[in-house]
Formats: sequence, structure tokens, C-alpha cells
Amino acid sequence: MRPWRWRSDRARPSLVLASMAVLIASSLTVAIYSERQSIAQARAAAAVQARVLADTVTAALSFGDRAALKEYVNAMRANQQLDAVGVYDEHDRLVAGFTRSRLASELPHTMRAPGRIIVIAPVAQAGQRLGAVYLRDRGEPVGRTLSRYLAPGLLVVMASLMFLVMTLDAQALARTNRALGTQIAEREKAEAALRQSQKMDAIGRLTGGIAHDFNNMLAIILGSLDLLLRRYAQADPKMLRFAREAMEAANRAADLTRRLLAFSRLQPLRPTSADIVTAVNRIAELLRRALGEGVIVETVSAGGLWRAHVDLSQLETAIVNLGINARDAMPRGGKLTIETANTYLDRAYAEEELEVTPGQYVMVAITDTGTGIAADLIDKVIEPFFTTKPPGMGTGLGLSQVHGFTKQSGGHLRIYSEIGVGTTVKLYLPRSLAEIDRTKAAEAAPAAGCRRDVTVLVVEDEAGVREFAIEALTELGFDVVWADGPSGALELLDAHPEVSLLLTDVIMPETNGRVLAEEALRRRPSLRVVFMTGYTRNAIIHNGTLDADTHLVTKPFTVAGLGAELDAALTGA
Amino acid sequence: MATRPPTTTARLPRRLVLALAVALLPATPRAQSPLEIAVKAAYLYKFAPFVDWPAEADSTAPFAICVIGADSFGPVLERAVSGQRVGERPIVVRRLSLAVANPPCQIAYLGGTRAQPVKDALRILRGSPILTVTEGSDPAGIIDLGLVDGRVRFRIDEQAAADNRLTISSKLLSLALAVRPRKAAA
Repeated sequence: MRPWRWRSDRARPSLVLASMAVLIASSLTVAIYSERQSIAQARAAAAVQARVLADTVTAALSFGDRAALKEYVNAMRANQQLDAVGVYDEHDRLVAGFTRSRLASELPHTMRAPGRIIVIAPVAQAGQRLGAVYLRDRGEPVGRTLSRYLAPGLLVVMASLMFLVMTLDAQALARTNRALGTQIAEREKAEAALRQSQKMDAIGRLTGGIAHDFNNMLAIILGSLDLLLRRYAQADPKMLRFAREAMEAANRAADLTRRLLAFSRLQPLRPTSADIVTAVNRIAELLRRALGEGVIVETVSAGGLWRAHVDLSQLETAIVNLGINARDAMPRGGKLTIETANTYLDRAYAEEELEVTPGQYVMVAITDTGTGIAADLIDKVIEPFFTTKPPGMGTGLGLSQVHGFTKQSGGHLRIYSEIGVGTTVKLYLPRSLAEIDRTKAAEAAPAAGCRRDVTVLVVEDEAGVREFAIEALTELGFDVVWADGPSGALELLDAHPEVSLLLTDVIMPETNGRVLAEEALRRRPSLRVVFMTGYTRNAIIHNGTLDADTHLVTKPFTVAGLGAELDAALTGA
Repeated sequence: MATRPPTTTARLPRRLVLALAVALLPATPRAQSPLEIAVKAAYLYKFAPFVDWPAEADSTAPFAICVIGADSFGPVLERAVSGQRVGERPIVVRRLSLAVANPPCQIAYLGGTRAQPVKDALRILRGSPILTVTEGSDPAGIIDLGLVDGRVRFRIDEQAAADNRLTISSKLLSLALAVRPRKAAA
């Protein structure tokens, strides 16, 4: 159906042209035919007249009666159509005649004259040639000839105009078609991108929800095991070994939930103004050892690389994940290149891609020389639990983490792949204009040793987590008071002026942790606040990143991790 | 060809000419210019194409122009007809002193003599298929030549032609100065 329609569209102008040509040709033929007819008629009429004149002048010519000849010839003047009439004797000499233009003194032999009809009739009597009569007809008036050809002429003009209009129309149609085609293609692309993004969002919510619940449970398991190992260090070594194994497994589970949270962009990030080159070099060194001799790891760094606003530990995880994928794609060895460069994603690029803000980015590209990813799988590889690896070899969460992390960092992920050639994954991380690395400054601060003077108010609605936190704080040498909700917490705060630190969960049935912290700070501005969270989609976090001066303990946490965060809160800004 | 006779030609009343011609014997023709004679000589054979003679046994025989009686042409006539043909037939000039019944002529110019005036010759030739040509005579032949306004013209007696079983082309009739038509019954 389609090719046919296309062909008929193409054929239409030439069809019209052909029919116009036929019309013109036929009208021209008719005009020429009618002109020929009219000339033939005029010629026949002239021939008859010549014949009559020849008969009339026979005797006069024979006997040289010029007067009579003159009379006969002059009688022909009445016929305005006649241009010249001549009577010639047997020696072809002009004897009598009249002309309105010019008449040869000798009988002309040519019968041709432009636009004229010439007839010569012999004058003879009883088989004896006596002379000739020459008749010249004016022929058809120019006006009549023109009118005869007016119709075909008009047709030619009409056909030209029609063809011109049709050509312009066809061009306009083709242009519109092309524009429409481009628009449809763009729309389809945008819709596909939107669908993909909505799908990822839905999967993210689902995994995020599950991971959050798991995290709370893991917090209790890990915390309990941690306390068990600390308090009963002298217990039966066999029992301790079981406890350590359980803890190890719980740690792996915690790692998994962290990755899920990373994908669903719900993992709390601690972005700093990070030096990417240093980080990349450090990870490259790590990968050289981890990936084995078969894989050559190279780094290519552009000079004057900007700092990026990212969570360095998450970036490290991302690059390691990509490194592992690269190794799996190169079973017989190959080359892994980590490249860094400053990039500007312009408005045109941002319009092409969904969820990209134009601006300055630090690009980290990880390229392998592996088997590549099929084009129809490119969109799928970032989905959680999607893996091309054999069962048990991969979790299907590696690229999901990379994707979730870059998106959550306000960056952009792009995968280029060619079967049999290799894969390049490009991370575009937003440029940081801050010069000071706050995390490092905080890390550099000396740890304070005045724990026993500090009273901590713990607010947590989940009893298991709360109890672990109390135990852990006690273990660390803090004095502890606790409440299971915000209202109780505020009462305790008023009743215990010695409380100098508030450790609160973020999501609670009554009010969220942030509102509680604000109210507490209003009542006691000197109070330090540390949040506990496993699930970060709430008021305390903007776009997944913490306020710069917020202290946060991520569930599940260890006693040591909690202690470090509290120290940071007490000594830091 | 068509030539204007010289204006110097004597303009004598025809009656007087005839009277003189009758009076002077042997007949002496009135004074004619050589040109006029030449024109008349040419006329004699030029009449031929316009006249139909009854079918003859020998159609290849020469076409004869006879001068019967007084001859005012002389060698001019021979010169005029030399090389001319009537149809396929060559032209010969015959001179007869007297008209006889059924002479071997197609055209006969009757000059007339004292012994046999034109009138008698005409009577003898009546009924023969001969185109009789006279010049200003009365009675006249089938064609009677004359000079009008200095030009040689002729009258035609169609009835006389019919009597001689001749048919004269209407083209020639149209050029004639006067035509005496055939009688209605014919």
C-alpha cells in the first residue's frame, strides 16, 4: 500500500503534464489542420478563378487585344483577396496585369511566397499554349492565423502554470512530510525515554521500600551481634565464631540493601568537593590488584580537572562495579581505561536526553575491550537484578547502583557499546565550585575524649533499634535518656538540662525527626543533633543530599560508626 | 504582338475604299501599312484554334490557308505561318485565283477579283466546311476583318458559320466587334 501511494504521488505531476501535452498537441494539430484546410480552399478558389480568367482571356491574348485584356484583368480587382493578377503571353512576357505590390515582368516559376497563395493557369486553345495567367492570393490574414493558434498557445501557458503550481505543491508537501516525520521520531524518542524513566522510578520506589524495612531489621541483627561480641568477648570461642559468621552474613545483607537504596536514589549521600583524579588513581590501583593480570588498567586524566560535587565513597563503589563488569566482559583479558575530562553538556544535548541539566560536568569514562552489549539491552542493563552473567555470578545491582548514584548526584549516565568491540560507560558528575574539602577537614579534627560528661537523648519509635542504640551509647561511655516519640522527647529535654546531644530517628509516627530537632534547637540552641536513618526520603534531605552541617548515622550502624559520628557532631561545627 | 497600327495610316471611308476597289480593275488593294498586313496575316491562322471543323478523312493533312482572288499579303503570310501549327498539323498557304466548290482549304481569305467578286466566291463556298474571311465586304464572310480606331477588329457571322458546318468558340465571339447570331432553330 505504502510504496504504491508514494509512487502515485510522484507520478501525478508527470501524468498531468503528459495529458496537458496531449491536449496541446491535439489542439495544435487541429489548428494546423484547419489552417491547411483553409489554405487549400483558398488555393482551390484561386485556381478556379485563374482557370476562369485563363478561359476568358484566351482570345484576347491570342489576338493581342490589350484593351480587352486590361478590362478582364481589372475586373479581378474587385476581389480584394487578390494581391496580383498577371497575364503572360506564349513567351512568358507580361501582357496585362495589376498588382497591389509587385508583379514580375516575366512569368515567375516559383509558386512560393511567404503567406501568399500563387496559382498559375495556362492559357491554351485547341491544345495550343497561348500564355499563362498568374494569380497571387493574399492568403490568410495574420489576425486569423493568430486566432487559430490562440487556443494551443493559451493551453501551453495554462499547462506551464499548472505544472509550476503542482511542483511547488509537491515540494511543500514533501517538506511538511519531512518535518512531520522528524517530529514523530522526536516524540517517539521522548516517549520511550519517559517510559524508561517512569519504569525506573517505579522499580526504585519498590526496591526502596523493601530495602528500608530490611535495613531496620538488619540494624537490630547487626547491633545485637555487635553487642554480643563486645560484651561476651571471653565466651565460648565456638559460640563467638557462630556469632561472627552471622554478623558477616548480616553485613553482606546490609551491603545489598545499601545498593538497593543507591539504585532507588534513597541512599543518603555525603557529597564533597572531591578531587576526582586522586580518587580515580586510587581506585585504578585497587582494580589492578583486584582484576588480575589479564586486565590492563590505564588512566587518562585531563590536566586542570575540575572538582566534582559527589560522594567519593559512592563514586569508588560505582567505578569498582564498572571494573568488575568490564572484567566479566573480558574473559580472555583486555584493557580497562579510566578517563577523566572536563565537559560541558550544552542545551542541545540536554534537550536530547531526559533529566539532564545543561552545565559543567566532570566526566569519568570507563572503557573496556570486551564483548559489548546488544543495542536492545542497553536500556535494560541499569534495571536492578538484570544481569547477563550466569546465575550466582552477579547480583544485577552493579549498574543499578552506578545509575542511581549518578542520577542522585545530579549527574548523568551514558552507555555506549558495540558488540565485539567494547563498552564505554560515561559518568557525568556535576562540577563543584567549592575549594575546601569539608569531609577531610572534619576527619582531620582530633577526636575528643570527654565522653562521660555527655548525656544523649535517644528518640526512636522502633524498640529494637532504640535498645541497640542505648546499649551502644552506654558501651561508648555516654549517659543516655530515651523517648519513643517526639512529645516524650521534648518533655525529657525540659526535665534534663544536662542533655547536650539529640540522637533521633527521622521517620516517626507523630512528627518527623527534623521538626523535633528544630523545636529542640529552639528550646536549647547549644544542642547538638545527630539523625539516624535508613530511609532518607524525607524533609531532612533535599534531593538526597544532606544539609552541609547535618550529622547522620545510617542504619544499620555499628557501635564504632555511631561513636565516630557522635564525636564529629560534638567537636565539629 | 498586339501592335498599335501607325497613326499615319490613311483613314478612308470604307465605302470609298470599296468603290475604288470595284472601280479599279484588276483590283488594287487600298493602301495598307506593312504592319497592318502582318497583323491580318497572323489573324488568319490564329482563328484556327477557336473554330471547330467537321471531322475530315485525313486529319494529318496540312492545314490549308487559302488566299482566293486578290492577294494583298504576298510573302508576309508565308512568313507569318511559318513554324506555326494547328494542333499537330502544319500550315500551308495556297493561292487560288477563283473560288471553286470544295476547295482544299480550311480557311479562305477572299480577296475578290473583277471576274469573281467576293459575293460570288462566298456563294460558291457556302456549305463547304471553310472559314471564309473577308475584309469589309458586303455580303461578308464568316469573319469580316476591319480597322476600328486604328486597330484590326472583326465581326462574326455565326449563321454563316453554321451554314458551313463550323462551330466558333464563344471565346472568339466575345472578342468580336459584332456577332450575327445563329437563327434560333439551329
